[in-house]
Amino acid sequence: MAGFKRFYKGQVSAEVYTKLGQVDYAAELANLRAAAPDAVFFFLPGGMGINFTKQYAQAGLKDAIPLFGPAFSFDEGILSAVGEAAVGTKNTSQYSHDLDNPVNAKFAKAFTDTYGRKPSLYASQGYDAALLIDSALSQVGGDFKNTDAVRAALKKANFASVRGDFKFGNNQHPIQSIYVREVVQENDVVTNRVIGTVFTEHQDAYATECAM
Amino acid sequence: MLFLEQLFNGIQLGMMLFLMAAGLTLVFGIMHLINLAHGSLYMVGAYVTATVAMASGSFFAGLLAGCIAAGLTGVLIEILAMRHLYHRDHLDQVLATFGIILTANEATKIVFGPQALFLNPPNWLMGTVNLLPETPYPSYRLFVIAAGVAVALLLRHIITHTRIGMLIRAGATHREMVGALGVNIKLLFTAVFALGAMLAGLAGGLAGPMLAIEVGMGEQILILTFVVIIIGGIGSVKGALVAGLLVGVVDTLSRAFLPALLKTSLPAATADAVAGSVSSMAIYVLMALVLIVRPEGLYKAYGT
Repeated sequence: MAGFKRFYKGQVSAEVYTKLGQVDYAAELANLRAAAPDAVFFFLPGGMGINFTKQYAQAGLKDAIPLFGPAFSFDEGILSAVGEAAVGTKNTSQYSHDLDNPVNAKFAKAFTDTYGRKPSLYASQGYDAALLIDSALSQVGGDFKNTDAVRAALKKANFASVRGDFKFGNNQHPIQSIYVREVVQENDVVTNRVIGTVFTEHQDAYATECAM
Repeated sequence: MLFLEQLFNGIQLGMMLFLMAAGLTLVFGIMHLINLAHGSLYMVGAYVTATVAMASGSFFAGLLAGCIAAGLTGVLIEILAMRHLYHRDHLDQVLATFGIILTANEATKIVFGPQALFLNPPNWLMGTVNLLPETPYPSYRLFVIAAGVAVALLLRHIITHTRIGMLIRAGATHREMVGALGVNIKLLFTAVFALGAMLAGLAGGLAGPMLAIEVGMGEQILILTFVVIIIGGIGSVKGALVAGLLVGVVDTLSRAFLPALLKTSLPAATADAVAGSVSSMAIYVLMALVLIVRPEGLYKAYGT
């Protein structure tokens, strides 16, 4: 939420904090309807996000108040459980399976062919991590016992990421682009589609404070 | 009319809790058995409902299948595990049923995968209806309330007007005597356990369209259910209904109105944070208050 408010220029009309693991959001949704804000930004990862998004749509709020959030409540696994109740909502992510770059085109196709579903951001991170380790091991010629050299090679991040541009910042967090995605229904599948870029080569807010 | 809407939300949550608590309180009160795996039966109900509804295209076929599957699972658990635990310590029962939770969760993950399942209410329950002009309310939640009322009436009929109900009431108070009079206590216990399991399955199936159908969903509602049966009085179905509604309404209203109330005396940011923690405690405070006044819970365990 601090991250959202760091860049949000409009007025935040109210903040609501729910219990971790809460299953029913009826009380919060009724208050939300009464408050009638212009939009809702929420962060409820995993099952909580499924509960919230389903109940939000059932309360008839989806078409009345636009819903936004980070990708963790909108990954492809969650969307398959939420279904059309999520269509039209928007979320931000460093990855989407329809990102237009050759590495991702190859990965997304291979993943979909193998598992019969679209890769989520978590799948992409696993794939990227393997590519990163591969790039480092290639640079040291497979000599993984030379840990200093492996670490230095990892730090270069000399590989083509499925998320496009990728490198490590001074604090070893990624410098990467962040995209906004809209949830759409393609045939029977509810999934994400990139509709814009929020940040290009964005570095996290705390990098300058890190003396690593 | 925000208050009316929130009151309905509370009643709806209360009905879900009642469906869970009714079965648990019967098992606890009559069989003197602590069954932590009650939440697993709820999960079975939700998973089977979602699977059958998806395959058949009918939510109600799914709901029926979910109830039956949970009932059968209950019978299986009763015969395989519970039967050997009636004469054991409560701690042994807690350990065994906790083991069943772990087994059920892992088995569900193996059969259905770790991803949450999808379940929509039937089309005619998708939208909202106006309780009063300008007060839209999700029709599916109204349906859940109606289902809860129907189950409450049915249970009342079973417990007060049928032979098995009589045995349940008798078994709750004079277990040995009922056995001495030639009633097959084993069969009665299996029947009670199956009834409780079916109610949990029904609750799971009904929760499916509103909640994430995922591994571990049963444990989220289990704690609240135990609060309900303790407030209501262990073994009392009427207590489960009253306490379910009480917990549902108190939980919902405190979440709904505490933030606004606290904002009159605290800065907005502090009020949001404080209201969050205070409203999570509300039902436990309620439980403590009830137990101070009536240590046995609101109702005694005489069936209805």
